[in-house]
Amino acid sequence: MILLFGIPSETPLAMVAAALDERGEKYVLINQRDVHGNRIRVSSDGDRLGGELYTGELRLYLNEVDGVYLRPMDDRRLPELAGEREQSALRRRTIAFHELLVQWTEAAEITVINRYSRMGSNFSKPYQAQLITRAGLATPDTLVSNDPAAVLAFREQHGELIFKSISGERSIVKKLGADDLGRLGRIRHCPVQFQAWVPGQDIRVHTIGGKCFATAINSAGVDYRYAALRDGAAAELTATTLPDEIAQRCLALSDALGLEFAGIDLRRDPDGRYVCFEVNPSPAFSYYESHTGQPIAAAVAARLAGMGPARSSARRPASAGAAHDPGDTVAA
Amino acid sequence: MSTDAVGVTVTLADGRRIDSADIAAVLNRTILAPFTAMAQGQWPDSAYARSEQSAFALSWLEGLAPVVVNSPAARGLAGAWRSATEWFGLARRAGLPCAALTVDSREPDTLVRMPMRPNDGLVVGRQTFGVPDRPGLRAAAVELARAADTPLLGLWFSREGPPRLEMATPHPDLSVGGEFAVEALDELLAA
Repeated sequence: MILLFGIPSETPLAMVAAALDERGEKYVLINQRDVHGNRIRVSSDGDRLGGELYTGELRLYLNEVDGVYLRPMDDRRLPELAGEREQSALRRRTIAFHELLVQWTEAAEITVINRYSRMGSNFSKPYQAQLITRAGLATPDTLVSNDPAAVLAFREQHGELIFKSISGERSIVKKLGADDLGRLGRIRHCPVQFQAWVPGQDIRVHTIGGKCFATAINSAGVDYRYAALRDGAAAELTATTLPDEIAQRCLALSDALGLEFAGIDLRRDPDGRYVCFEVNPSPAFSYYESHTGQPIAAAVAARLAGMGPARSSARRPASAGAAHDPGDTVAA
Repeated sequence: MSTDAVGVTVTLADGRRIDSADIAAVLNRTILAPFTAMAQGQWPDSAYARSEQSAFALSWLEGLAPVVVNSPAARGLAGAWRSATEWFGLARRAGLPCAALTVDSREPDTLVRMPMRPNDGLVVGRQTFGVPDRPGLRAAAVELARAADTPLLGLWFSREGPPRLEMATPHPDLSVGGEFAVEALDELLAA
């Protein structure tokens, strides 16, 4: 039995459900918005973990579940809870449902895409960058500081800089311009992350089941995800093939982070050097699949069905092979 | 931070400067990031500032020294905080007997399980303190600490019947180990 958890109309979740249908796999989609009907009960006699999950009219035994795809939105922002007081019974039960479902996926010995404990590195970009470099991929020279003088010295050393948030909040990349220098003193109130600007072509790599699906992005924008909105020109996406060494490192990185499924953001600079910016542990792959036709949802479905190696014990890049919300999420 | 190296410098208000290049090991007992005034201000900027400053603390603790005990995690700056369900899952695989457990989302209070007494047992690296002397129990406690990536780990055991794990913490009370635990910590940090 496979569980999918999220909002049924959300594109990545719907695409995985369709891929499971295509395979003829048995699955249950738990609608996150059914805040009145969802219930989970986990029990252990000290030796075995068990319990039940109730959704709609269904009751499922947790020990019959083999795979879970977690793709919820921030449960605090569910429309069904909009009018609820902070400590209302419904809000508390909804939060408890999300927490306990996550706790069970952490403890159960099944395939989970992805465990929350493994998604956490994305919470801090400079923390994750340290894990990325240990896995053998280069990262841009970075300064996180609340000292304007240090930022100016870093700029002197590296020339053009970009800045972005340290955490996953308000994560939009901008170039450091003259206007920004005039308000640099404000960083004394909260440190900011600055990086050497790396020119080149963006490449998004999805790793799943020992395969890499690489997409090349051509965009005039600093941050291609928001190119149409901020710069007026949408990004162009095409399937591409990575050099084998880089594909192996991407798979090794996913392994090192403990991620069954990852969206890795690379840039290939004019000298052909690959630099990694970050790894998204809950990738909105539909944006890339719909533009390139790469069978990413099918690969996720196959992994949930127990096909393919756990994470990336087999090392083979996939060969190079429609638009949705391009925003990746770290589900709350 | 570059591909080759990570460096952390902290200049304190009194002028003292801490440089990660001079630090061999860190005993990390950080529970919360130190928040600036901005994190106490108006929502949503305050929430953004707390998130940013927590993310910053996680990164600089990670890069502060070659040995950090416990190393920071996204789910806890002094090591990951876990629910009883998660600790029991790890403990069973480590061979540590666990207490019975029933948790229900319709009864949110059942998700909270933290004994209101100092931890009974302590793991420091490969040494244990206060862990009941039963066959295999101490080795299993050490294995749990290893599996949890928390070489400094506090444990609670049931007081009635054979000892079974009730809960664990990455931020234990160290006093159960006394001076011997301090020596064990010293060894761990020097490793």
